[in-house]
Amino acid sequence: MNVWLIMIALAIGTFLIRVSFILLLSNREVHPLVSRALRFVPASVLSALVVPQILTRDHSILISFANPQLIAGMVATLVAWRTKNVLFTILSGMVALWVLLALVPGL
Amino acid sequence: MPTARSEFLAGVKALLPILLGVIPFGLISGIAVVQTHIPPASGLVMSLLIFSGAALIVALQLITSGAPALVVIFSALVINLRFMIYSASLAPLLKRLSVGRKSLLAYLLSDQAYAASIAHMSESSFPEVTWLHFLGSGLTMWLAWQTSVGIGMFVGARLPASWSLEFTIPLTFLALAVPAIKDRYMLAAAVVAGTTAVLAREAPFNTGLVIAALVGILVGMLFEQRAA
Repeated sequence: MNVWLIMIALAIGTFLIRVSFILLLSNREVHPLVSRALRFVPASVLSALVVPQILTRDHSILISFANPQLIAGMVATLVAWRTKNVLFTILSGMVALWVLLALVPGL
Repeated sequence: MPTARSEFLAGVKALLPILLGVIPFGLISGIAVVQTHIPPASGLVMSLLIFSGAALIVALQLITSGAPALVVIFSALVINLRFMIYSASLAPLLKRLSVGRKSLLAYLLSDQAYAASIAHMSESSFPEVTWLHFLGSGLTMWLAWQTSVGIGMFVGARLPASWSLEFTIPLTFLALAVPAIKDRYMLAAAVVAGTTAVLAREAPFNTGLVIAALVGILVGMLFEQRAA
């Protein structure tokens, strides 16, 4: 399917999620089970996105300190946990990766 | 009584300090988008349509890796499910507005605008003008986001491949994931979802992300239930 058709579907879908309770279900209460599940959405989805991408080096999973992304990811996780700052997290991860790639030959 | 103008400006003002984090984040998201080989002009139109950086980046990555359209759409929408929480929380405050105004405010709904306006709106005793606070914060966020993503895309397209900038994509999500873990149940959900995503990476049709997210949510809920 065409990329643009996917994008239009995404635009409509995202808008429907945003408008859901504001417009379409404005007189409905959120079911307690639904609101309990929604609470876990950000942590689960984001973690499911991050972990495989950090561990993937040259198109395959590498769980080893020979994977510079694993170490850089650990540095960034520590910074994210201590500072809660988006910019510091991204910068620390990139700097760690660059330092490792520059210092250790063959990575 | 606050006027329409003063409410709108108060909303703009409430969002301004957040921009310090939003603008660099938007620039990096723009760079991340062009790492998936989308031309900057197309990326900008997509960003205007969807107004959600995370969903856009994930959709483009999945398209690049050859996932079927339905999986791309479903995965990106799962990421945006959090907007439903905000929508439910704003609904009673926006009840009396016209359909047009409700739709405009819904399109402008973002993590940042919600954070900047919800406390003020909940405490306001002037429901007829308080929506303008959200319009002010929402429009400011929208403008800052689209501008910085746009600049990031045009700059990112000119940066050399040897900088390993594709790594900004997982780092961007990591920067959001860690603060999203607010208690041990969410930590359990995150650990399980991350592990499942690695195990399910070869799942048919790139459904690994959705499977891992659902398993994480379920485990988090069960863990919380048992503890209660």
